[in-house]
Amino acid sequence: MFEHILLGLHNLFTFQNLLLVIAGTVAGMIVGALPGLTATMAVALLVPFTYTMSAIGGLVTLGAIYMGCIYGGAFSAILINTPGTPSSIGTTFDGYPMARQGRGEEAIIAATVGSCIGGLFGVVCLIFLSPPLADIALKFGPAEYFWVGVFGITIISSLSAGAFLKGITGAAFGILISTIGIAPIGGDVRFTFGMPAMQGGVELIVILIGLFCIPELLNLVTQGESQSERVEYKRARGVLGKTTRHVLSMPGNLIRSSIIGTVVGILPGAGGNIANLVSYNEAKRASKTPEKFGTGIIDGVVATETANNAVVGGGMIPLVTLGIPGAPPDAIIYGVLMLQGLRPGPELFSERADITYTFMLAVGLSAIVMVPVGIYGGRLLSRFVATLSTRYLVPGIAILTMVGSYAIRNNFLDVILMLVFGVIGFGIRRLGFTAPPIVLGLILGPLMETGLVQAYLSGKAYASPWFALFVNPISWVLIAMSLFSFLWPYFGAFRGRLKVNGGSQTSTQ
Amino acid sequence: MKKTAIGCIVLFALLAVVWAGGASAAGYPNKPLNYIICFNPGGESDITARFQEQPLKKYFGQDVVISYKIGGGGSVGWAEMLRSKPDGYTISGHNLPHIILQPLERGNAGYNTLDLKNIYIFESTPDLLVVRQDSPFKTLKDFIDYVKKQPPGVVTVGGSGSSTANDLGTTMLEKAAKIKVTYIPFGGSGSAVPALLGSHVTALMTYSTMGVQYAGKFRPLAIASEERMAVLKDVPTFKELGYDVVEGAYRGVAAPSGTPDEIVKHLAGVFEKVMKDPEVQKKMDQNGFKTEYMGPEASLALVKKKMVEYEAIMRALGRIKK
Amino acid sequence: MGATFRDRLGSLIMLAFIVVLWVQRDYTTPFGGIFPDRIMIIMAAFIVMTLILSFTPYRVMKEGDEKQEPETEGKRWLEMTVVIAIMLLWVLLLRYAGFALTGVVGFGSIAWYISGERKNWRMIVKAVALGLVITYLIVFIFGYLLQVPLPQGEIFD
Repeated sequence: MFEHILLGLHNLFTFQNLLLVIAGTVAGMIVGALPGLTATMAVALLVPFTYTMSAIGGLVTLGAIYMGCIYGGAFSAILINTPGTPSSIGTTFDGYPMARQGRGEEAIIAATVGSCIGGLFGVVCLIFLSPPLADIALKFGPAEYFWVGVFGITIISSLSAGAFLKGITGAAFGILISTIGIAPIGGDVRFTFGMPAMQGGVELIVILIGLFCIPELLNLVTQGESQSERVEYKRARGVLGKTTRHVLSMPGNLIRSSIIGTVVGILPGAGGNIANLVSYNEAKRASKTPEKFGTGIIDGVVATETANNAVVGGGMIPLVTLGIPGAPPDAIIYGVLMLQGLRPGPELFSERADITYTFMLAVGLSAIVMVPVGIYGGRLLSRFVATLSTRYLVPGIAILTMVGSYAIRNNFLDVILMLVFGVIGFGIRRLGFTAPPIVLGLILGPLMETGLVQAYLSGKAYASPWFALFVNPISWVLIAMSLFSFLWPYFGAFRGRLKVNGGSQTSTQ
Repeated sequence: MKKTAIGCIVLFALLAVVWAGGASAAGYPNKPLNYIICFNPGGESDITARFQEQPLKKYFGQDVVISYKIGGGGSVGWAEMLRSKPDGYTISGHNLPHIILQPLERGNAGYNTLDLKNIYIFESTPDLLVVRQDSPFKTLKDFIDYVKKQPPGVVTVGGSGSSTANDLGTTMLEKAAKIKVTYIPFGGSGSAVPALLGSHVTALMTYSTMGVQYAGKFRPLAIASEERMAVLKDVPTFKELGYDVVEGAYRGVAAPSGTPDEIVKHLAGVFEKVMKDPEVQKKMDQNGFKTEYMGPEASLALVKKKMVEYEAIMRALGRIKK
Repeated sequence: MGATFRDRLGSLIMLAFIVVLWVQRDYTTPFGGIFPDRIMIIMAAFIVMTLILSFTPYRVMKEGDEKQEPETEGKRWLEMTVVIAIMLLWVLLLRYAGFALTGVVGFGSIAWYISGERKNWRMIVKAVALGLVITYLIVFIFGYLLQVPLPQGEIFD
């Protein structure tokens, strides 16, 4: 294997390939930063450009674009509270508060370092651990995916900071929205309000933009010209070194988030978008100061960005070993592999090892390239956004929301829906329903439904079809994890009450 | 500041004129072709389109832009395509049986089967029944005997989607062999593969392409075509084994219903050349696709024939929505 | 808005949502309803719980959480409504007038409206000019470089 790696490195460090990695990473970052353009779209859009290149060149470019895109999503998440890609939803939780406090640059640096480390971790797993990890992924069947979805939902108990009932109601709301359209099993047409155009369902990005961006946009409007609310952008010296050292001083967070990202990436049905949310939740749980999460603590940004970049490498593991894409952009890369006549499987690692290893190393390299580009560009960008007067920021964001929600499916209905959900989101926020649980429900709904119904269908062999959900040992592990995750905040509060006598602490019980 | 503003306005006006003007005049084709794929990237429709993209550009003479309009099992893309201008610059991939079954089963799928003007049907992927390489079933007979011994519905067969060729193929096999299995729909041929590899389902009714791709891991038991496929020459057809099951997905391209016939014929000619291109043929064969060469009339005839066939089957199953 | 009022209003709105979906149920296969029905029932249960709790001293949402939302006086409501109205008009006209035109007008009008210096013609020019530049940039990057089709506008066809 090591001679393959050396060969890969040798192929990678040619002028052309290096240029492609850099160009791809930068292009990916820009696309990722634009709300409404997802990594999947970016990779799909840029496939035709790769036709004129060799197999290696094309794959290297696409891999770099993918990695850059996932990282780029952090920029808009931090600066305008709109995740540039769904994989950066969690980055808004702490990244945006940091930006509002004038610490936007710090957030971007943290996101950069985290993304680099997570990305490298994912690629290392890809190179060294692909076959065994892929086999574990296969053991996850429909029932297991259902419980993975349930586990994801339990994150709400810590996300909604005590307003659990509102959070779970919001999640259910999101789940129901995700059922609009054609049922994944059986093909029933559901809840389309009589409009065939709704048969395509509600697209995640559209809701993301609506729920995250529009309410903040409206808040910016209310601040109007009175800049008093907008903190002066602090151009502190030595922020780069200080923040980097701070990030590197939390190895637990970094490693745990990387592992979560890689694991979520490996599971083909899970998609990459939940990685950042699970990682955020785990970071909060492991932290000594969980109450600070959501107010602008750097750990939050590190957790989400590290995890989502680890998904890149992780998602490629089932792709190259089994030909099964771990995350949607991998499906496109799969198409390109087919086009080049590269059959996923052991053949890729032996006869075509030169291409494969070069590709994997290129993805890793792009994780490193992101750092200088991101820090320099991020600095400029965050200064620009922070000092831009709201009178131009608001329409600027508005026009981006229009483009973003249209670009995803070329559907005018999406743009209307974006606005509708924006207004709804703004309204229900005041009633206690925040965006994250809703979006979580939206992402996990299809996962849970497919798993549940497929498991139910497989269950004819048992006394009740529902038993199929409980037969596999992996299911038991997931159920236990879900219960644990759900009850944890209450344990915490319970222990808090035991420790602090006199009850000076407000508890959630 | 004012000068900049005026400068911008002038520049913009100039550009607008240039943009608008470019599209008029000249003969067909003088604009890029918009090729809409209605399914997920990485699926059969997408892969075929990627194979076709370069030769298409060559034979069509203009750029080809592949875009995705995913949703509703294809219905969203088809409905959108039907709403676009019938000027021959917007086409979309279309699939049988989807375009026939969806309006039947949903009542209102956003389009009608015959609204899609068939340009060409260029490939088919016959259904393929596969089990794992290490499964105890070595032949179709083994499998059917096993199913008959189990209570009805216990044996699970996975496939891609509901109301698709996989779904229909399974139903037809059940009828022909007088067995009852449970069909488990997955969100695409790709999603069904881990289910079989991980033994979460007993068998898959998938497409011939999967049999080729996972040759080392899957054992195909039978193929639902009239004759054996060259690339899967050891796989007997259902018909050979005594079961009249011929089913598969047909893929082609279609245009909005008002598109002029000459343009449709021109496009059909282009696609014919593309499919006869040796590079394309090689890729199709290698990957398990069966190339078809059906022009506008032949494909329309096929659609009509299948409409009658499927309506009968669906009516018998009670799956038609009023 | 007091916290109890918030809880009750929120619950009622969510309940209304469930009803809107419930009456649309029209499953033709046995599988379509397995999941949504159960979710709707579970959600309704949580809503009822919230409603009941709103009549007890237990607070679902802490009073302090409201600080997160900036307080808005009447004037600000008006401004927000106008911006939303502009965007709504923008969205509706997008299909017919195309992105380029609506982009310039939309950007320009929001920028002009928020600025507060509405009588100032210099402001209007600045807003429109910037709108032109931004819109052109977007059309160039998305429409031309990335080949993402932007609405051309049906009246121009």
